[in-house]
Amino acid sequence: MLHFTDPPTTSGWSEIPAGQRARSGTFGGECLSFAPTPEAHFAGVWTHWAAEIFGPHLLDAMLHAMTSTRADHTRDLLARDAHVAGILAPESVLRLRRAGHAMLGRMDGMRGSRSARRFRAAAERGETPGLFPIVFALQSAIYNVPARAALLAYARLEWRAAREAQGGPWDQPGELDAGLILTRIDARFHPTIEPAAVAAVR
Amino acid sequence: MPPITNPEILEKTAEATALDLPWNVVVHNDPINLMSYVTMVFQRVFQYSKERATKHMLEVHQQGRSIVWTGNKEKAELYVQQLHSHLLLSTLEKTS
Repeated sequence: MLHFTDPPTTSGWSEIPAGQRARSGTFGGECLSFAPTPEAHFAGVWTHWAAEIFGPHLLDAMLHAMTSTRADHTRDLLARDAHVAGILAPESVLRLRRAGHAMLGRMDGMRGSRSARRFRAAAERGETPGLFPIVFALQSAIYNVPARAALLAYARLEWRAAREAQGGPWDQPGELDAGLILTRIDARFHPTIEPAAVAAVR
Repeated sequence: MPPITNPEILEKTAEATALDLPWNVVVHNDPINLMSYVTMVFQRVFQYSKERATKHMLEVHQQGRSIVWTGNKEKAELYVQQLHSHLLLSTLEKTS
């Protein structure tokens, strides 16, 4: 099971200022990439995040990261990490790095995955950001977690991190609009056939 | 048709009834759910106290699996379905 409450067991966080490394709490009491301001409408920002960040960017990046991990394609994994770092706001990248490094620090054994070991070494050397969604996808892949479950679990962690950052309750799963996320995941796995393509077959 | 005077019995059948064995709901460890989340799900699905839910959560975390409930099959299936809806890896097994 995941746990972030203990300090990382490995070194290598030299690039991240000491005061900004993961603190107590799930993610040090801060958001990940879904970061509504206290005055914002939480559900509204969640819908926006699902449509603008998760759907078009994170979903694809995580699926590719899972495939690359299984195929032991470390370069693809690193490229995907850099790609996500390039499209998100710098403050989001920093938060995702903290969470990603905290998770990497707790991954032991890695089930003999060469790409996972290489990715972790690159993150520790500062050669790749080591973002949380990529690390989460990597771990899900090496433990053979089904992609749909992994992606939904990731979205739930984003939701929870934002809830905790605002001091609100996180233990109300009904509040999380899982349908919003599942729609995007299912659309990725089962894209609707274009009417033109259907007509061409006929 | 002539009567059968000396019928040969090929096979004897017998009936026996017994109570069905109970089923275990087993939760397995996974790398994607937070410990506090798993505890919360146990509390919600089984109405367990925080202490009991935490005990099962730690069992899952440390031993890889925990029998969280035992009883009749229909209810066990319902629990497994509810655990799946919370993304927990759970299975059913018949008690030996």
